[in-house]
Amino acid sequence: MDYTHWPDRLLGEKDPSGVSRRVFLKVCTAAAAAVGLPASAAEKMAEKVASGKKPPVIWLHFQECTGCTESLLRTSHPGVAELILDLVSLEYHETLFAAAGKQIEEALHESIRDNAGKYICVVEGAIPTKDDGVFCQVGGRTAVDILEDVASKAGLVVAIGSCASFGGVAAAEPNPTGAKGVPQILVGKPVVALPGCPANPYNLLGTVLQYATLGTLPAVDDKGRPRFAYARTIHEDCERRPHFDAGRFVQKFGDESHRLGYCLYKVGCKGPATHANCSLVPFGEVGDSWPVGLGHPCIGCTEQKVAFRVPMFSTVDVERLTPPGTYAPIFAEQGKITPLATGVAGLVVGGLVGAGLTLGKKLSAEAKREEHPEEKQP
Amino acid sequence: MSDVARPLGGRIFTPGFVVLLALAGVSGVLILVRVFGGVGSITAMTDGYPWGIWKPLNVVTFTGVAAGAYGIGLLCYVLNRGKYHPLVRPAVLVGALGYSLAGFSVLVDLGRWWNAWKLGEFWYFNLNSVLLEVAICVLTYVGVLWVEVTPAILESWQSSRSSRLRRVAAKGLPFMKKAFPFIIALAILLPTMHQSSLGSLYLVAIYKLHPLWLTPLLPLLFLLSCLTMGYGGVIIMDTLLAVAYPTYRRDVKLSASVSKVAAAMLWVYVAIRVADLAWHSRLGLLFTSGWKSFFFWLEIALFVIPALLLGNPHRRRDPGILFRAALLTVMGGSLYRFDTYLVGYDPGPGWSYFPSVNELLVSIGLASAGIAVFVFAAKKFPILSAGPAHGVRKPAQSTP
Amino acid sequence: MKLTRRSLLKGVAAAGAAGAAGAVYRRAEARAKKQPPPDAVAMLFDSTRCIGCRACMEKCKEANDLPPDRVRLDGVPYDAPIDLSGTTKTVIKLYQGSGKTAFMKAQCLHCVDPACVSACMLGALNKREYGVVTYQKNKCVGCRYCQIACAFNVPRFEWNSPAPQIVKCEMCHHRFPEGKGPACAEVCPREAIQFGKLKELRAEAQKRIQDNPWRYHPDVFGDTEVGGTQVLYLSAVPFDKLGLPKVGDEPVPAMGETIQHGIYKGFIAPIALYAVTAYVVVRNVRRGEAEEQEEAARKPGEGEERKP
Repeated sequence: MDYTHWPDRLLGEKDPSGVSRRVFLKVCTAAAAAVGLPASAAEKMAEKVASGKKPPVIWLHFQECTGCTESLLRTSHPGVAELILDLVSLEYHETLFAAAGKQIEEALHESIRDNAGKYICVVEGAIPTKDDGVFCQVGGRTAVDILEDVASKAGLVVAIGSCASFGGVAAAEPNPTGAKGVPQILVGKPVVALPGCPANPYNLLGTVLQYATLGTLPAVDDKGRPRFAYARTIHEDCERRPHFDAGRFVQKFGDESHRLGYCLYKVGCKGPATHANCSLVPFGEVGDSWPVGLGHPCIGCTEQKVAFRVPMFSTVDVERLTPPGTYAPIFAEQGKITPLATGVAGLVVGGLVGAGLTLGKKLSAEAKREEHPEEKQP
Repeated sequence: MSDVARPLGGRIFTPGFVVLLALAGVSGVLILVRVFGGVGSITAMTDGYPWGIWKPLNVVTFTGVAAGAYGIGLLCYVLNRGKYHPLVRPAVLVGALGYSLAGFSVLVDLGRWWNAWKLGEFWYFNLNSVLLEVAICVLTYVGVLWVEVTPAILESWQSSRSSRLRRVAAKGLPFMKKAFPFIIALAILLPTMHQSSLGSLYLVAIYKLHPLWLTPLLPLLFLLSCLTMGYGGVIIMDTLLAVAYPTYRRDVKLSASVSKVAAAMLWVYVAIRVADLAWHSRLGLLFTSGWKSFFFWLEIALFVIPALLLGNPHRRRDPGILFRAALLTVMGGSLYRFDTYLVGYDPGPGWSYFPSVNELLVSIGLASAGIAVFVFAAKKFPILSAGPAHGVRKPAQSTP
Repeated sequence: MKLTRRSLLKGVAAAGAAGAAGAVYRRAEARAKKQPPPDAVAMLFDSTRCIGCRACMEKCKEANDLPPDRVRLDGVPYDAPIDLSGTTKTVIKLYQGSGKTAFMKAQCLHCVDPACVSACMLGALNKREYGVVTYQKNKCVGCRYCQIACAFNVPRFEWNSPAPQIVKCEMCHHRFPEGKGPACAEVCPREAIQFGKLKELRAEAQKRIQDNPWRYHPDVFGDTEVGGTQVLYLSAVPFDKLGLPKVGDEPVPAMGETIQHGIYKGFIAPIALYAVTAYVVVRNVRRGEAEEQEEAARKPGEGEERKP
């Protein structure tokens, strides 16, 4: 994506009225296009913002490293954080808020009360369940309790990051805290999951954009992951795919093939088994800001079966096999002729023919002897 | 010369018999593997050569040899040469066994063999398909052949200890006698139809069968060569039985007489073959087709040499020459079938085929099974002209 | 006329030869040329447009539920069929020669007069709606005669399956009720393979050659070959370089059907042969019985039992 023509966003300005409508519309249009929404969404977005009807967001943190929030904050072209913060009314966020302690807890309960049934509950981090969930408590309440309480009155629940989606690194073997993801705690309730370690902030942008402007959710798969980001594997859209098809692989880190940017499949890239859009939408405005782009094999951080389970440098099977760089010939050599078979056939046929001819000779000799018995017998 | 058919008698489980059973057993195991693993699991057949040797060998060659029943039947019943009677029963038994083996072999070869019963659903028949005609004809003919074998079984039951079997024989034999001409007519019609159609099968491969073998006369040539093969087979069977079993009464003159018919047909075949190629201006191919030319010449040689050998009446009476000529005749007919089905068939560049060892073993095993059953039947039932089991060995040649 | 063995044999041989020859050498008038159905669909493959992306192969496998042809090159798994097979209904092949490169899409040509349909005993392979040649496994015995018959070696067999089927392109006719055409034509990014009505695509193919004579080998394969096919080919190089066999305009099953029907028409010949044979045998048996009775009357006690 070419970001050079984008206007600078006024950093820190959360008041959209400080920016001209034309500039704002331009940014919204580009952002909408980036996540596959029609251009008309930009108009609706601007209207909603102008009318002041911004959906409230309550952002919960549990067993997390805050990487997902940080990756959100690290974007600038477009400034996803700013966009989101312009689009929504952030009611509770432990990292971004200056307040702490009792005050912030009161703010949380007020917001839940005032916005019951309307707010978006974003969850970052896994939820421990062992020993009644004592391993993560905020304000004396376990994570499980908080989640169930806040989520029960939410209009939409979004699990951002692998930890919130399925347990992530917190749930890696042996999972001493019994960490689980939001969909495994809130069984039966629709949860939009955005796995990734960290999650790609543009996926959050897309989901929130759609909900905030159109009031609908993106189509999700059986794990609750939006299809616009998680339907295809890394492998299908990877920039190094031609190398894979042509058989050009990195054999060892630091060698010539690595320097030339060859495919990382043999050093353990999990791309062929990982559903995510990192290859299409990098994490920051710098090109190649994703693992493979930087020369490290994908670790499959969005996939529960792969992430923190399959060793980083072990190869995985390819989910959808495709043809290599070479083609089938017009006439392929097909058919096997083994020397053993020719030998056996030759022996059998030769044996039968030989035996037959010999027998015939013998019979002729016998007949001759019978006819001329006076001839001497040897 | 006694014309009485008697069981040969003698021990069943001779060493030779056991070997035959072992070979049949091996093929049985391989067939089991094929049932669960697919046809490709034991054969070398590919999409370029979808019919390996099982079709030309197990089906077409076995039935060609088994056509002795057809050939002898023609001579004996249609041309009313009663002297061939002693050869009828063994020829018919070879026929029944040969065709049963061929039919069984088809079942083994068919990919979806459980659908074979659908050949009875005549409303689905595609009357354009030559293979359909072959299949229906062969299936019917197997039944007819076994019906032709029943008189021998009924006769042995005439002197059975079981009174029930004796009653069956008493009723069955006269009935068979009455039905006889109509069964025989069927036994003449059916092979005429399908033996020629075994050649017509390849009329569909107009762009894949080499012009040395592709001709509208394929049905006629296959019919002629099946008769020569059949006669050759009968002579071979006659000779081998005489060599192996002292109680078998053999009349060499009979075989010699059969061979005369065979020789005439061999010449007719060669004449038609060459004339057909000349008519289509293809004689040049006899020299310019590489491997295929070689096989063609070999084929013709295997027809001409026995024809020459059998041209002389004195030579015909020599059982050794008779046997060798018969062997060459059967080889010639078989090679003609192999050439049409495999050598002359060219699916295009890249494809090659030779049977796998397992494929060969199945063919060998099935042939062994057929021979074993024949020997068993000949020893237990009145099939062959035989003297008493403990009689003096008569010389194989008879009086002038 | 005395019916000697020799004379009868000669007669049979002569009659047989004459009959067969006559039936055959007159075949030009025997079998009507088949026409495609009026609503016949077709596919046009333009080799000059194909870039070898193989999206058609992938989509075909997806639409027909076919497994990949798993091949490991240097330890890395790919779907790399080398030819049509029991798991591959279409394959892109590469031709490189005399400085030219061309891609070829191998698949069933859906002939107007299909050899496989003529050969199939119970009609498992049949030419159905819109002229598509389809396969129905419930009528298939796996005899593989269709493979012998097809001049293009299209039908493939599942050699290593205990319940094998014949596998070949069926133009995704199972998608027709959904209003969709063949998957390959749907996904081709360059319209190298197109789906449409036979009349239109035939005209389109001719038009392309006329408008761009420098670009094409001046022939549409399938226009007249083997009596016409419903999959047409355009190419820059001669068609035999792309693996299409050198065939004539005569439909593949024509000669065989003419001879077979010539011999068996109305089943007259078999019935006649049966009747004649039965008559002869009855007469011979009666004669034989009469002779026996005569002999028995002349020499009582020495009669030998003749057995059939």
